[in-house]
Amino acid sequence: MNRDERTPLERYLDGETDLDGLPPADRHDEARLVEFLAAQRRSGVRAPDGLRTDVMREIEALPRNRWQDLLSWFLRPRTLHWNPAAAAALAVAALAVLMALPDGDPAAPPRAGEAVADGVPAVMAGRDADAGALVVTRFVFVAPEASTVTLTGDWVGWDAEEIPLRELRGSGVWTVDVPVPAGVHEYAFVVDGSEWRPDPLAGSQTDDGFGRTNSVLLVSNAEV
Amino acid sequence: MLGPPDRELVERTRSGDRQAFGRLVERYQDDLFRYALHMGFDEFEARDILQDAFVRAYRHLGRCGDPDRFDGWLFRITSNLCRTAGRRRSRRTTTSLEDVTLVDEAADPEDRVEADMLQEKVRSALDTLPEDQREAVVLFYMHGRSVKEIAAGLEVSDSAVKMRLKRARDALKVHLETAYEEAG
Repeated sequence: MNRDERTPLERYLDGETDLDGLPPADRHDEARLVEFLAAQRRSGVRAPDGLRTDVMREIEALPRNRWQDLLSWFLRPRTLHWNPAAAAALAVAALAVLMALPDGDPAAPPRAGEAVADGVPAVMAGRDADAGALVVTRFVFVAPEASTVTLTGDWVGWDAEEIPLRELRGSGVWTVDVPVPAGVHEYAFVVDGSEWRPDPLAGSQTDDGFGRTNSVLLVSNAEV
Repeated sequence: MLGPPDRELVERTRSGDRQAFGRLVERYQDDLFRYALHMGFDEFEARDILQDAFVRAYRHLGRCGDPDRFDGWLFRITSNLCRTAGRRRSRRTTTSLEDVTLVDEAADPEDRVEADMLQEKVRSALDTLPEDQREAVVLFYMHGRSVKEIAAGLEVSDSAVKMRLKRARDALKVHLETAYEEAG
């Protein structure tokens, strides 16, 4: 059985004893300190009026996250009214869409009209891209020691599991092609499910406010 | 805690309900504002830091791994922004605790003078501490956080927090003795 080698002060700081658990000298100092600082704790200062309003105004001005909106739309409960004729027409239309879809191999080279960038901040879109359109973008990350690498970014709500990269034949080079909405985005790679890393190939990095660094990606729909 | 728990508000925000996030702002803005003031920022700087912190929190809400611990996660953002802002500007010659009204305006004038003097002493004492020690003192003594909560928020060990508190206590002891001697 391990002996508790903590000092009385450590036990006090750990919340296991009150002032009475301290030696007399420490107890005296601590009582003064608590009294001295307590005046500030009781000050009753409140955040300035209008802070919440300003925060919400700034948030409202942010571009909507299309993925999140789409997900919300699908998840929102609603009542469906069925009409057999309309249902049949819908089924035919869905079948037609499925037949028209291309192969879904994420590691396949991009098709004509899709431009890519190897993790660099400027990404050019295909000529048919509309403003705000999704642009297929190739991300490349070198991590020979990694067992898994995923991509995350603001356009997927920083979901760290949604976009896995595929390793190219055990080379330590990981890649994925993924549609990204046109605009400026922050992103990072997640190695082995927990270690967030910026893209060393990105031309721009930014402090994310969490003590970490994000890479910055500009997805443009301009003509190449 | 009044109203829905943090987890519910975080999940509603994630599914597109921006007003749910407004409830989280209301819930934590006062405590975080006081924290920024205690860290030596003036009222305007503290407001800017908080606005930045809340907007960042909203934009990166997907990174909040445990919505039940949203408060700790939000605090970490605010704390990091305080450090970044602190590095950007040189040490202030006047500090926040003078710039904002911390005492009851309706109090007896004599009491207010005493309260003002006490605030000045607190400010001077805290200003002498290195940033990491000040952070620990503010959180432990003024915001009632436990060592474990502080350690989790600052992403350091419990031992590191206790060491900072101990060093801060040793440094503040000198100021306290002077203050009490002057008070007779």
